[in-house]
Amino acid sequence: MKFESLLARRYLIAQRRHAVLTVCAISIAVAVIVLICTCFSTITGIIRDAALDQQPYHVLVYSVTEAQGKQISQLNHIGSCTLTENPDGKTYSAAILFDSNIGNLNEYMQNMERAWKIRSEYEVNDELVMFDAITFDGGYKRAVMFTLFFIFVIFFVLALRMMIDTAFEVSSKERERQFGVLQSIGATPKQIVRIMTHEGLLLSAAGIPIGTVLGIGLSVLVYHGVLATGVAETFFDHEKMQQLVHLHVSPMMLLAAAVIGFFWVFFSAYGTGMRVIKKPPIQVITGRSKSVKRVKKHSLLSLLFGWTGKLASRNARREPKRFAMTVFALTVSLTLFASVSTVFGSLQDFVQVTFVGRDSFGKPEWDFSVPVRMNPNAFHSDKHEDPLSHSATFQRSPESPTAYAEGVAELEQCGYFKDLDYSISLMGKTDDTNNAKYVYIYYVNEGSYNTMFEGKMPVPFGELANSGKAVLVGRKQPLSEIPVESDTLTLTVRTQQTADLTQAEYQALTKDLTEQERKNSGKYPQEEKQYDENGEEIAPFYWQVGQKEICYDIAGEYVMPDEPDQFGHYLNSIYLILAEPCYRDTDWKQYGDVSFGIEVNCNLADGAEYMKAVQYLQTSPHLIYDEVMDIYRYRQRTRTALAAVSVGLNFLTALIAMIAAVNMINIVSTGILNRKREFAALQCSGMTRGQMYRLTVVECLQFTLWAAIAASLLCCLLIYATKQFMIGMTLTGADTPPPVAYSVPVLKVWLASAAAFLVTLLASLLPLRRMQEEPLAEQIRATE
Amino acid sequence: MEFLQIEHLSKIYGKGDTAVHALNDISFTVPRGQMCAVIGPSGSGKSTLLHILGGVDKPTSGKVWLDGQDVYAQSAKRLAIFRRRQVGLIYQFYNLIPVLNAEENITLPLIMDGRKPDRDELLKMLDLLGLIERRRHLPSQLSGGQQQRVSIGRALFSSPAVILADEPTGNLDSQNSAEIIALLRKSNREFEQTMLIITHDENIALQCDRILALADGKIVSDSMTGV
Ligand SMILES: Nc1ncnc2c1ncn2[C@@H]1O[C@H](COP(=O)(O)OP(=O)(O)OP(=O)(O)O)[C@@H](O)[C@H]1O
Ligand SMILES: [Mg+2]
Repeated sequence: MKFESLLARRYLIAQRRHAVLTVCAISIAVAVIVLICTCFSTITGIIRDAALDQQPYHVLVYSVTEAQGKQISQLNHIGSCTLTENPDGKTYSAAILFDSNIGNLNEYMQNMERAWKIRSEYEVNDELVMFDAITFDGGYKRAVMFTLFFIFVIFFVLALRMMIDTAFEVSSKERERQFGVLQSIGATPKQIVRIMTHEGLLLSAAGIPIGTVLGIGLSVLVYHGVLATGVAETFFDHEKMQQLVHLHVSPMMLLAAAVIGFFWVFFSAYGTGMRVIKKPPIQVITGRSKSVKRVKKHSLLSLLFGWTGKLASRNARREPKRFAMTVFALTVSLTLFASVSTVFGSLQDFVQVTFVGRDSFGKPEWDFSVPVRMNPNAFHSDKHEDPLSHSATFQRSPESPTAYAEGVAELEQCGYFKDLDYSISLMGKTDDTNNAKYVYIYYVNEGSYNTMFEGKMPVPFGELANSGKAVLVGRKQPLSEIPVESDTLTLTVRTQQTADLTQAEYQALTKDLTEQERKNSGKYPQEEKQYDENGEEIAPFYWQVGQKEICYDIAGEYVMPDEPDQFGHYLNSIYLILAEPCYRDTDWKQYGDVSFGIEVNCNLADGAEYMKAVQYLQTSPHLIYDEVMDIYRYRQRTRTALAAVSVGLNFLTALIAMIAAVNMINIVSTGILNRKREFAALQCSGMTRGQMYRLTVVECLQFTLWAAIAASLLCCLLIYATKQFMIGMTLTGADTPPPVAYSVPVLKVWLASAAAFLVTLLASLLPLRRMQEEPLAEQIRATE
Repeated sequence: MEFLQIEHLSKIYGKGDTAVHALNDISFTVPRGQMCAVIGPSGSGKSTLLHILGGVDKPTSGKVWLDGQDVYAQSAKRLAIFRRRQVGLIYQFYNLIPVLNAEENITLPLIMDGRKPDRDELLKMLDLLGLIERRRHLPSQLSGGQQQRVSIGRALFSSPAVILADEPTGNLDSQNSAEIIALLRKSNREFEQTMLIITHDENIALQCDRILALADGKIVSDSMTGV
């Protein structure tokens, strides 16, 4: 072993730069694995802790006596058994946490029941049982989970390995020659392989600890990055977050990462050693390949760049495997980069359109949608929490249904909201019996009116409010079918009216109805007896749905543009828009007195005041009759989730780029250094430095050009395949993400290629320049 | 059977119309202790022959017997040990290990064999080669002749049964080359080593026991010098 380790060490010292790069490659790879493992253990750890937090037991036995509880804690496998008194004051529920695998849970519980005569139902916290591998089943599930994870890791490791392998390979022909010489003076194949593996050991001894530390550091960084996006807040409140969310660094996972890293380096080293010993020594020494190849007379590069190009393309041909590896590694990186960022970009657009969507007029959605009561005093009773379910008793409002204005005013004055937008909506239809058209009647406030027409309103709001007239809105074709005669439109409109009923009247009205029909008709049974001034018993009220013909004066028309919305649908609805003050002042009388409230859309005045605004809404039940739609929070959540994904993906892309860069630098710079002697010889025979630099530029161009072409083709192929796949899935309508144009990833590929070109250029020009500092004679004699 | 026996040895590089017959059905024998010069024009196959005898190349066809052992019938490991213990190869282009100094290069075959080099013997060898002062120098710090002497030292130091030298004096002046040949001769006598020396130098060829002449991969003459 002595001479192998001596040589391994000497080679490492002699090829310091290469060794450092290899250690870098190993470190990055191990760091990535550590990062992935830490992510996994952190996520599973948080889920496990959350499961424990919600149900702090593996098994909860509902009712045991105190004595039984004590006996249970004496059993095998029991980690802890916490007794909590049940409401009956006699029995306890026992929360059991096991400390080791109990095998079959049913059997265990049956034994326990038999032994202590416990007659009780019990509940199992399946999630925790799985994460802690408490039962055979749970252990099996956990094993499956871990196996799936490790398959994923293995895939990643393979991908990483493919890209970094070149770093470890004895890429230098000179080095291979040394092995040939060693063999020729009697080193056995085993000894050659041992030198390589020894080198691998030394490199991994440096790389694995560095990688592990780097990986933990990266994990901490990513963890804080992800937390900063606020994604955790969407799952946990602040207190729970403090308690549950923290980084889990599992020593087992670190060990696994280290072992993976070690075997990886070992196999790389072993493979290289094996490759060297396969050839007869003299062939390795003279560096001649067995087969005699014909050299192509013309190549693209020689046509483009003359003899420099010819020399460059000959060089590529001289080591075809290495050239292929370089181009392949670059192609994979470019493709991965372009496709990941493109897919993510279109995903983001898709989510933007779908979730942070737009209303039917194509305007952005609001931050809040607040259902304001018609009357702040109506329904203000604990009993009537759910007015929409029809099961509650209704009290008719003693005031006019226009009292919503008070609620709106309050909302406006509280200062948390702006851009208030609301409307009272009714439904009408034209009186043509054969071809009735439905018309939405909206009484809109000024803000709503202005945003609706985006400044192109046919009549100013003030004028509309004063005249009490209406604006007809719709696409050209549906509009033409509306029978407007001398600027008036007559519609049959749905009305809702309430009336007091005596008990007798109520019974007469409802006697033929079933309970359900009675409810649906708005006729309510009495729950608490009520009496009028005369002491007569009355039912609360009678809600009558009716129709009424109303004639509207048309002040103007607004023709909506004939274009589809973002989902490709054409809007056929017709709207009749009136000013909200008209409703409040007079028009409400036409429509009856039943209304539960209006939806007020509004924006948050100040994003920082979000919590206060929500609190305000929560503590104003007199204002709000239903659940507030907190679109702001929903959108924020979607954004943070997107941000988290984007942090992750960007990180991954950066990682890919980094690995690719290290790889490229390594390949290209060793390529240059290997040909130190050759470059010197060329210079001796009259090549100028300028010509030499030109040669390297052409060589770099060659790598990146081929890689860019290959990556472009691959990306197009990927998009084509995805499109075919989508068509196959017949995803139509609103679910289809916007199609990706072919040019998008291709453009990205070429931009990334340009960057890669600069990197490779730098990687080859720097060692070349350093080489120039030595005298030519030195260069010719020396090997690295 | 003679100590070294070559039977119908052929080596063909490449295929088809680009095929080169570097060796073309060569047969000859060399008894133990004979010092044999190999001459011939450039490209006649001398180096190829030597490499095949040294077990570092594979013949296309034919057999090489050394001390009753079919050289190319051995496993890769046995072949390596054969090279280590039986053969000392001196290359036309030295082929030293650049990361080891002169002394380490010389003792390498012994160390690889798990043996400990004798200090006195090493110093004696270095002295003979005129490398005492340079023994801690790396190959890149030595002149061509010095590097050649290191490679000769490496071949001789473990006193193998066969020494194969490819133009060992190609880079030396006549004074130095005479010394090297004397050194080889001495080693040949002392250890009864069998030697094949490729040379372009008539004087050196004439100092050997026998002269083999190659041309176009064939033996064109085989004569004893009668030294
Ligand atoms: N790896 C190879 N591939 C193709 N041809 C080869 C190879 N090695 C040697 N040859 C050819 O085999 C022939 C013999 O080569 P060899 O090196 O044995 O010649 P040589 O007699 O040693 O010449 P010199 O005196 O110049 O060293 C030459 O024509 C050479 O071109
Ligand atoms: Mg030769």
